[in-house]
Amino acid sequence: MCDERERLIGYVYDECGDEERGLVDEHLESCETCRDEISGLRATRQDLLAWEVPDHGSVWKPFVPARVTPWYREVPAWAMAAAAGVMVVLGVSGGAVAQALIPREATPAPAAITSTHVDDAARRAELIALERRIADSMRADLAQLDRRVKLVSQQNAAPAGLVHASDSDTTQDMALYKSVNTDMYRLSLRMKSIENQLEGLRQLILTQQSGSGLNR
Amino acid sequence: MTRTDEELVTRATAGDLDCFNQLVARWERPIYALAFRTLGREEDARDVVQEAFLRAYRGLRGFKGQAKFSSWLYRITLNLCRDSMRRDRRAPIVQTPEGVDAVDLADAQASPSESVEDLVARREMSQAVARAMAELPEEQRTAILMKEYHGLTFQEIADTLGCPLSTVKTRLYQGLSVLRRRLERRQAEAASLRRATWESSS
Repeated sequence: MCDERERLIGYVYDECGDEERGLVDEHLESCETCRDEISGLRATRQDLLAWEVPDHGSVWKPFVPARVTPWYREVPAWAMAAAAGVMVVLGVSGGAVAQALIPREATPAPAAITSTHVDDAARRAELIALERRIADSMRADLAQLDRRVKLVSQQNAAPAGLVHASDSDTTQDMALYKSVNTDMYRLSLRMKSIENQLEGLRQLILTQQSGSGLNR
Repeated sequence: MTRTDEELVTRATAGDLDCFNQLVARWERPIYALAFRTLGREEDARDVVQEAFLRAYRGLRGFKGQAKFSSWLYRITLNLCRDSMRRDRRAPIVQTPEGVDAVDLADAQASPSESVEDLVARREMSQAVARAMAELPEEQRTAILMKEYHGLTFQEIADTLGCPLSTVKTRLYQGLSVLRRRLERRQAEAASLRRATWESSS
């Protein structure tokens, strides 16, 4: 065993089987060198306990679950405002088209009109007023949408120190802004087209109504 | 109820961040101690601890539980320590305080019953062990660190270091033998110095 002192290490750390332990015990009874070796190794282990590690605070910043953000929070405010404006305009234009297309026969006409001769001048004035109201409403909505977009754009152009968005976010916002502007331009063209179509419809309806009034 | 490491790992792998935080809280101190004793510098040890847990988190899905979580973590830490030493091209450093401050010593007293002399002796022994360990070959030093300060079995050390069981025993025996000689010599020198000081003052 004196030639295989590595075998003593299991004995020193108490990590050997009963048989091995018995063999070492038996050997130690007759070998002073190995007894001294065992004693020295144990003393060294005791000395090792003196090695201290300096106190330290935690260096780990605990993970926190990512906040779940509703999708609409991730859409820029100006884009939300623009979308809301577009919806208003589409609603108004849709209503106007529907009003122009609904046949007059479907609505119960006032007794005075059905029973008396149609007053063409009054109807014409009524239609012109209606068209004007629709056009004014569209313009007002578009103007309001434009104001909102400008307002939000100004807010987004806050001093650099207050903006936490990254460059990529800003680039993305600008791309969205341009896209909405393009959509608004196309929308205004469509509005113009609807106005023209309404005018055509108005003329057609007036012609039909005046024809039916003559036939009556 | 205290969850085992393996339970916490399973939950953390499924996305439970709090379970991973619990693993960190449980193992940060031993990992820091291993890194500090391997590298010898607090700042480096802190960096290694942070990186070790980040790597562990990223690698959780790859940890299949073949070994204990702690053994896996120790291996990550030792690899990072090795990288750090290679990067800095240096051996472990022994941080030695410049002079002994009485107030500092009073704060460091483990108990009111410990005398300042005992405290000084304890500090000197701590420094002596740190120096002796720093001079050991890396393989022997690592084996002793894992056995003496982290209580791993021979087999766990072999698994962590990827070497045979007999190699672990050899490294431990050789390392302890070298430490024994150096520490005994240092103690003899310290005793001689004390005797000379006492004789010159009397």
